[in-house]
Amino acid sequence: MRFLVELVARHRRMVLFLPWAVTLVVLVKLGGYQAFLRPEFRWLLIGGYLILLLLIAAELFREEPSRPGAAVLLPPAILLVPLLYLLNARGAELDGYAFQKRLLGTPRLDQQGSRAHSPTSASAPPTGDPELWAFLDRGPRRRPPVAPTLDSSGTLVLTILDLYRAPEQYDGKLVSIVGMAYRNEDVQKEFGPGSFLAFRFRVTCCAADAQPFFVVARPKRGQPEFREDAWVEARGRFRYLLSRGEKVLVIEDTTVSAATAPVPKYLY
Amino acid sequence: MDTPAAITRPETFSPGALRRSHLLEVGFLVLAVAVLAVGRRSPAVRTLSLLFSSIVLEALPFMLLGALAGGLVETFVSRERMILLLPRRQWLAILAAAGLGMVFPVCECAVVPVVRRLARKGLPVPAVIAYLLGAPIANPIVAASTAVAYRFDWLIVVSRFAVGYAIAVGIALVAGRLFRGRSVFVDGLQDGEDRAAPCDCDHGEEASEPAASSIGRAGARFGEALRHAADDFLGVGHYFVIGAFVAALAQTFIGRSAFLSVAGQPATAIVLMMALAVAINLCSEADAFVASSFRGLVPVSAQMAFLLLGPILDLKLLLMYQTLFRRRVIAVLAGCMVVAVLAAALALQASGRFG
Repeated sequence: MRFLVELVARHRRMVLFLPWAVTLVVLVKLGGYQAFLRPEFRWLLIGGYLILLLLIAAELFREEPSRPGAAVLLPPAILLVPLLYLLNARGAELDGYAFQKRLLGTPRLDQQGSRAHSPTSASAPPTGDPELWAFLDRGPRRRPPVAPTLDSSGTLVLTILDLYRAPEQYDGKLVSIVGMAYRNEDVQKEFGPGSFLAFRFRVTCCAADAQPFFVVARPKRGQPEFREDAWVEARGRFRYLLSRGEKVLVIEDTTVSAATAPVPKYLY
Repeated sequence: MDTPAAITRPETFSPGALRRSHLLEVGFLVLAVAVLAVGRRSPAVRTLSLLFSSIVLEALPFMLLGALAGGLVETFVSRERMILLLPRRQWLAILAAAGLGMVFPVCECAVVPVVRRLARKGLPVPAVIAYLLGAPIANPIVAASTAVAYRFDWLIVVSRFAVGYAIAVGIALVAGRLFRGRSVFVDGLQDGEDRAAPCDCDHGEEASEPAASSIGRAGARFGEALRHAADDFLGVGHYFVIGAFVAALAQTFIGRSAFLSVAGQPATAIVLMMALAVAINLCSEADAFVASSFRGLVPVSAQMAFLLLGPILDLKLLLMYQTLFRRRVIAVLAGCMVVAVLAAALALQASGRFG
């Protein structure tokens, strides 16, 4: 046992660098890194991989001056911990749990369910998520949406972020979006039976800064049941409402169907 | 020759520091493995895994790059050459020393061994302090990682660079007055009896074998630089992993709404982020990725406080400073750092552009 510890301690840098190098190659090659980072950050990982290769090459010629103690194993052991978590994150996605933690306030319709307000008539201070407000209020600086696709039924195929980028443009139009479903009693109490939030996360750099963007979907009667956190396609008439000082993006008379997870899952 | 005991490597700290360091490390390992073993299939731990992995993956290349730069500087740039770069007039020397990180980009851990060598070569105390505090912030690798982490928000990048530089210069000037004519460094540092020199590689000395070709020598020194980089990465990277885990835990288990109540009180948020910076010991080449993950949760001024204080004051640095300065000097410097960063963050908040 002591021999084994000494052996690992002597080659601790290799024990650290090799698995990390293999992990970076696999993540880049298979595209798995997109669960964590923006697609263009692939180059960062490739750069990191190249440096690791240099370090590994240099280790081949290292002469350990003395017999290292077991204590030197602590830093590499800690640096290997993220690999365990990477394995556990395989196939995982930011779901309703993360959405609930990151959501700041549920948008509300007023008590009468009125949607007659103009978005520009807001006088009450905003109470929802400040980042969503900032996104909606960016006005002229807002990036013009990519020319939307029309499907065979004349419905605009959009992302949730497209709706946030130009809500006035799509107000009253038939739209189709894909998102993960979040449904709980509060949502249904606020928006009616069967209502749910369809959400996706927007990532600036990595999943740690993921920001939820969502629309309220009010389904037609008789829509199929779907499980929580399922990817769904919601089709219906888009409304951009202002109520009780909060801007609300709603899809009315929604037809809900199961959808495959989009690739990439995040919005940018 | 100096006794080999690499300051950049925590395993070679003094016995007291070693024990404290091990407590943190073992505690982290136990916690991290236990969390995974107990709840790896739960939504919370799956989310934690995603967030933790993403922070580490994003920062890892920068940490490797920083370690590589530090290794190259350590091997190829002699301390004498660094001192020759500095002007003789004290205030000019301070201004230049605080910006030396632009030429010799090293993170806060790699800078301590370099500064020890500079101190032994007789660099004036204010210039030593200016380099010690300026280099970990005002350097191109830190600027690049901050830019990437903040999606090229140049206001944040430039502010961090400029305010960090200003704080380094300010504290160095104050220290120059406070410590004039007093003993600042630990015993033995400047009289050749130092027991904790950075390494035993004889950097800057020519190869003694005349038969060795210049290409072979250069190759050997490059290999030496890479091995320094590997040691620096090992010595510093694990602190980053612990910090990233703490940040991911906070993001997983604390709702944004809880942060929002803090965000409403910028002064509280600034103090909290400063405390976090001291507690989690991040490398300045990677800390922007942790700070930016608090975007939308605390004001930018609080994130700036985190970015300004972490590279000059945290728990591991307090340990490392003990190999350089006397304790009362560390106490005074730490007080100056806290006050300067707090004042700067409040001023940024008051400017209205960092809310």
